[in-house]
Amino acid sequence: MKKGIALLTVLAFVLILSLLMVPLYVSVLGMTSTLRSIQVLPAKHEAFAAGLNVARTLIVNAQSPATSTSIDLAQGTIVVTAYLSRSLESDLSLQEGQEGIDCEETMRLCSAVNYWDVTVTFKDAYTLTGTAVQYVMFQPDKDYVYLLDFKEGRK
Amino acid sequence: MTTLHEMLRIIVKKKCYNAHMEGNKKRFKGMTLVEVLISLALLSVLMLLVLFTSTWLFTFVKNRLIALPNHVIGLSRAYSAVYLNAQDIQLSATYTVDKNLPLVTLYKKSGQNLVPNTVDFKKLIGAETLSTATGATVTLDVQTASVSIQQPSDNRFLLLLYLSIPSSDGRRFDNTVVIKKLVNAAPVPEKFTVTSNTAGKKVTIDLYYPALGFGVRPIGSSDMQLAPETSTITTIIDVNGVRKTATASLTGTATLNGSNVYQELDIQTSTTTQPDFVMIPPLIGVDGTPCEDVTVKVETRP
Repeated sequence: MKKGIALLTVLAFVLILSLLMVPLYVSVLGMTSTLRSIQVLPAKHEAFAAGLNVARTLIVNAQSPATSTSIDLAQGTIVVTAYLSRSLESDLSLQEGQEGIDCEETMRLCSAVNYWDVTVTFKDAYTLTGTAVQYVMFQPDKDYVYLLDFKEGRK
Repeated sequence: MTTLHEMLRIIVKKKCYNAHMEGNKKRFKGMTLVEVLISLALLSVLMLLVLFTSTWLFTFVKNRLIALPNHVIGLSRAYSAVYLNAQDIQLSATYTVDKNLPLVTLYKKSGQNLVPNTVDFKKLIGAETLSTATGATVTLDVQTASVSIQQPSDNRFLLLLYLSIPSSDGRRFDNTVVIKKLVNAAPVPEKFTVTSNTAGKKVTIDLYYPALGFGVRPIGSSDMQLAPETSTITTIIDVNGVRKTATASLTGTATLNGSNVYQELDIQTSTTTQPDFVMIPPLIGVDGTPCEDVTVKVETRP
């Protein structure tokens, strides 16, 4: 009989304690998730800035009309992809000694201005899409890449 | 005799022992009192230390626990106000900063135009009492909040934004964000249209972003500067590979932040022959981005 009462007392104590702990747990959980979502803002800010710098390099060194790279940052993984959407031909074929040049093989030499569709994906959840325009010079390190009109979208 | 002697010796020995022990007992009692007093004094010091330490510890924990919801609210408000708008500034074509108010007017591309949008950071952080799920409330005092924007003189693509909001419980939430403009408002060619007029063929090039004017490089300088002229000589190449000069002028005038900007580039030729290639002269964008000269094939397809 005494043992039963003691057990009930312990159970009641545990129950009251749990009831007290539940709101505390819920509020701490809520605050933690809020803080986590806040942390995404600066991380995304830095990741997109880094992604667009990567896009410049990716475009300058592109060997094909579709190119992509993935980089692991401390903030999360970014995936940068670039697709050639439009190209304005250069006057190279009119220059002396270049008459028979094969523009299919020498994509870079025959283009004067390339328009690229660029996508930067952060943590596979946030995307930044836009257009980059490449002014092709004789050497890749002399190219100009202008980043135009980027917008954020969510997957 | 021997027994008596023995008995006497035992009695004397016992008496001596008792007398010795009693003296010892008295001395022992005196020492204990002093020791007890010292111990009590030490104990009281220790207890006082424990009391003050535990009070400080409990107050510290209590303050942190109570401040936690306030901290979350203050921090989320500061972060969202700054970072969400920092991204808009990062991705805008150009912006102007009024350091006194302080506010940033940014221009974003919408169709062919650049649409202004004002970001007032004082309004964004807002003065209101916010409730948390735990029932705690915090008032962010916007009247004494400070927002300041710094723009380094040697880098027009960089903004430093300082935000500091005091709350009703005396805490202050500070945030500093370095905003680097990522988008280049470069006046690159977007669309070509070839028309004929009395002078000859005219190539009209719609620019993706408007241009402030032509760019020129003074001799000995690598930096491009804005040319005051609105026309210059450019080159066209016809289908036979013949190079000729033509006059380029910026048209499609619009006003942006009190300055004239141009949305089109006209290249007027003096021949009736269809130009196959045109050289687009150097242009300077509305945010100061220099765009190099480039010779491109005229693409009349959209």
